[in-house]
Amino acid sequence: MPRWWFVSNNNLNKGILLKSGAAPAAVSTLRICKMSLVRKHSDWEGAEDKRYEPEDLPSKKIQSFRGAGQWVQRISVLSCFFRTPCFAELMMRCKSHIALLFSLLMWGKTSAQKVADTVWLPEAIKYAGKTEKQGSIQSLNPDSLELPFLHHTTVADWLINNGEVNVTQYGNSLSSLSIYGLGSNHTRLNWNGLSVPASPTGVLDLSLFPVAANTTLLTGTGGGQNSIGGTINLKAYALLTESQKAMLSIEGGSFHTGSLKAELLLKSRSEKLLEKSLFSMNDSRGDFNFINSTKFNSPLETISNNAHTKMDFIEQIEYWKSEKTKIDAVGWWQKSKIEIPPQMFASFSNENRTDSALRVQTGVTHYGETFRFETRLGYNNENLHYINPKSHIDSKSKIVNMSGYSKLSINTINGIKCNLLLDGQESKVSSTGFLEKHKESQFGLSSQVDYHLKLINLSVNLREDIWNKKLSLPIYNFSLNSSDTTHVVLNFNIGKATSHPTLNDRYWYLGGNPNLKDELAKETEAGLTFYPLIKKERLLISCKTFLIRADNFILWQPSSFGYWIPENIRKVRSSGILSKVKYANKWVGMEGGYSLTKAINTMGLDSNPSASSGKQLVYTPLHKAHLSVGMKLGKNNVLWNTTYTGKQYTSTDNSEYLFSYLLCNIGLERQFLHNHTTYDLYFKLNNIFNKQYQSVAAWAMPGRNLLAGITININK
Amino acid sequence: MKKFFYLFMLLSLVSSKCKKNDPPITNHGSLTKNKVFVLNEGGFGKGNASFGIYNPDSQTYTYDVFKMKNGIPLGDVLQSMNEYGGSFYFVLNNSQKIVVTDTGSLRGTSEIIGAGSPRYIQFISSTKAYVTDLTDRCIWIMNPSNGVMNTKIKTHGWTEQLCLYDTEAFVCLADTGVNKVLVVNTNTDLVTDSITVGEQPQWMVKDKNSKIWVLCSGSYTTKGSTLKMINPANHTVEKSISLSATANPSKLKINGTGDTLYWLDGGVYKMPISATTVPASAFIAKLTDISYGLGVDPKTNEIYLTTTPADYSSPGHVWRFSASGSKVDDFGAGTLPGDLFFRK
Repeated sequence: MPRWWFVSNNNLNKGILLKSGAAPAAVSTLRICKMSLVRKHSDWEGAEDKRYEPEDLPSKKIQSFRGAGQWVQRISVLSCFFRTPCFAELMMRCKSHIALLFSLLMWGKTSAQKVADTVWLPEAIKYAGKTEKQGSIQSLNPDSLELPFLHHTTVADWLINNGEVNVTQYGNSLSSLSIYGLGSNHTRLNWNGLSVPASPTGVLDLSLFPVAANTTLLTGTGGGQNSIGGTINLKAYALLTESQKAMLSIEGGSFHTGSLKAELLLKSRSEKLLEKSLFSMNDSRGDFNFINSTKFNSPLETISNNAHTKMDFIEQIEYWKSEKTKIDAVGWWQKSKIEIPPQMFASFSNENRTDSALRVQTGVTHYGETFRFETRLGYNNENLHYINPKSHIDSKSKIVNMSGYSKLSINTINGIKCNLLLDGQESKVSSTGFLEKHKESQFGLSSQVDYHLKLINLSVNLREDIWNKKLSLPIYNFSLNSSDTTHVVLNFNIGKATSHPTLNDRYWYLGGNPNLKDELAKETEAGLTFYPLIKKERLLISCKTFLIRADNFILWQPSSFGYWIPENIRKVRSSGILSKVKYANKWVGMEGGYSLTKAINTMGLDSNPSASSGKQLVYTPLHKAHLSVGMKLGKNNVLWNTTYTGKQYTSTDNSEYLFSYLLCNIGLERQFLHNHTTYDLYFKLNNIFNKQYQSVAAWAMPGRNLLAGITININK
Repeated sequence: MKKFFYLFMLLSLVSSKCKKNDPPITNHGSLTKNKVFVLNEGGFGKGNASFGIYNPDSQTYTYDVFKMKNGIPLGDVLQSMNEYGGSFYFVLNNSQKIVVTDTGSLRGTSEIIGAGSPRYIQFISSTKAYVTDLTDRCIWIMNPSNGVMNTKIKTHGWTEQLCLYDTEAFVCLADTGVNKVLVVNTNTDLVTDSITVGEQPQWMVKDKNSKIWVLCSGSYTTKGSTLKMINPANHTVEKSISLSATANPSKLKINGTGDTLYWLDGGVYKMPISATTVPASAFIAKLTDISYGLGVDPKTNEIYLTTTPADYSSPGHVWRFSASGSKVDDFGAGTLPGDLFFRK
């Protein structure tokens, strides 16, 4: 999906090297990373990590890689771009404050940036990762240059501002993602290409995961495995760039919220060894006030039992054995304790849950002249402890997971590229909801072939899985894209995706059904993106349409045994339109998006099919929109962000619903430079009109709230 | 462009301040006399519990009366209701409260909180009522005169329906694996005895002979549903009737004359209190949707069966049958209509 990107030299190197095409330094590394996104035909597309990050290619390695065809191509294209009159003019005319202005345009949804020499580039249409949606047309990334402003933001908060996907928030305790109405238990999380197991319910709590340097949300159509509802890719969590040594960020604000994040980057003298450490902590009482519209006289109440504490520690080591071979290891310890507040109609709650996880990975990557080989192993130990003293519930679940993959990517002549992937994982699961421990395993083989013609690019992906020793249905994707040499890009994708039943679906006592089949989705989409050329201004208009037919969806039903049993009976048809407009000139920039999602049950769920058949799925708003406007006001940078969420039905017959709501946020940022140290001071005022709304029925949401923070970046 | 920015901010301000009008509160006059209350549980956690009022004479049904009268939703999971001293008491399980309205206008007068998950309320005097509870392992003692509920009688499990006999209350103790009916002295509020019945006793009625009938559902694993008849005078089980091994009974009711029992098990089963075995087939056959609630009009002996769609979230339906089992009327209700209350 086309998307604007800021390309920046990040403070110090001013992009001069790139203009001349000279040897890239740290800054150029970043530019090259961006370049891989500039247009969709990067040589390594088709892999989830096609987006090369600075840590993948340290600056000293770049020269050698330039010998490789793909990098020469990238750099030459990059150089050509930066030699264009457009860029030159921008470089001549734009001063630092203009860049700052541009940077703010995308903050919230996209980004703010704090450096000069900024241009916009349309992002590539991204192909999804190895096991995710191949040929996906919707891919959302926070620009790496906006990340300094997202230090204390969770993936949930980031996606809420996007406006095109639906994040449901249960007060302070749980945020789940529902894409195209396909259910929150269909979203998958990958970390560095390896799957992070969700809880036995299959629902991924996005409030647990901070926005990472390479957070990507992949949605849309295309063959995928176990990710019908989209995939969130996280890469290394480090936010520092190569030009920075250390970072400290502190934020505080309403509801007794305090956050701290510290990061340190160390390199060996030979620069063969690189180490990054990151520690973050967030603590909040979450004691916001809300108008309780479910009680007599709608009293103003303070929510109770809504505190949380979250901690993350990440250690990352990279070692370059040779110029072309990298070995890395990374560990991530995470712990959180979250209280679950009462719903609005209840008087109290003392529920809470504790999540803890230890994730360790190691990998080897070799960059050849015409190929790349990568192998990776991972270990996950995920624990969830839910306590409801009132109801005498003390529930624990534990998942121990080993996973790995090997991937070979080959560039052949005549524009043909091949990717071959072999992956597997095995999990041991125990839960107080299960009678016994369970094992599950999965091994998959997938291949992707891309063929680039003069005007058309073709991509075919096939995947076959063995899941719990049984052969799964093959999944596929075929995509066709027009050439990116014009100002109009057409694309078309068709594919099939599957999703396995969750552990609770299969093993819950009583009722779990081990004989459930995979859920299926057949997906088709087509899109058009238009980049009109306007002097001194940038404009992008895109529109796409999609159709998903989902079958075998799981629904828990009462049985003749007196308890509920899940069955593969539900059918869903989802179709819609996604559109986006982006515009910028010297003074102001804006981005607006609108999505229409018609997701309906196609099969009645009762004897009176008309009650639910043909009706919009619950918690799937028909209309969603967002608009971000940023501009420079003196030395300050201001961003205005608005998201609109349409009416959401809460009953299958659409007789009950939540009202639509419009939320507005404003941010103010100012940067100071002193002795190679950058100080970022920022304020954010969220929900500035104190809108009382509900994302999920009867769960109170906070009104107006203020956050203020400072980030100190110590550069070289 | 600055103008555009400020214009946009202004538009956002205006649009965010737009509010929809609350639904008008209408006067329904004397809605409650000789009417049937349909108690719609609503979806668990959805806060959409409601009650509607059915007029058997005009065969009309008024939806969500509480919201019409008070402008707010009733709460979450309406488990039961009772009437005492000119007030209705609506017991809302997952809202952890009892909503009190006057019987004439149905306007809310107070909310009684304190119970973790209240189930049923039984009035003993003008200053005492017992409230059973799903999660707190106790019977709450509530004072109807001031709405205070801060004392309790400890039990060893979740408590369900209860009946009064003389100065004793007989309370179902319904935890899995538990097979007791507790006897509580209503003067001292002490548990004085327990009676062994079938596993998981949940529903209880008193017949014309003042004998207490208890329907024990049996557990999911062991099944073994039974009907027990207790002589409350001497705390003994005088009659025990086993249901079939595949039975999944619920919602025990009795007619106005106290001589015929009814319960749900797919369809509606009917049995005279003198019987020694359960009927082989249902009195009213199972309908297409899932049978969910049952009521018997004490004046006419008409039977009201409520059903719910299989998704358990779409609106339910109420079917009205004559005492002989022929259909009289049917009408749509709210989500999960779990019980009915007949105003005398």
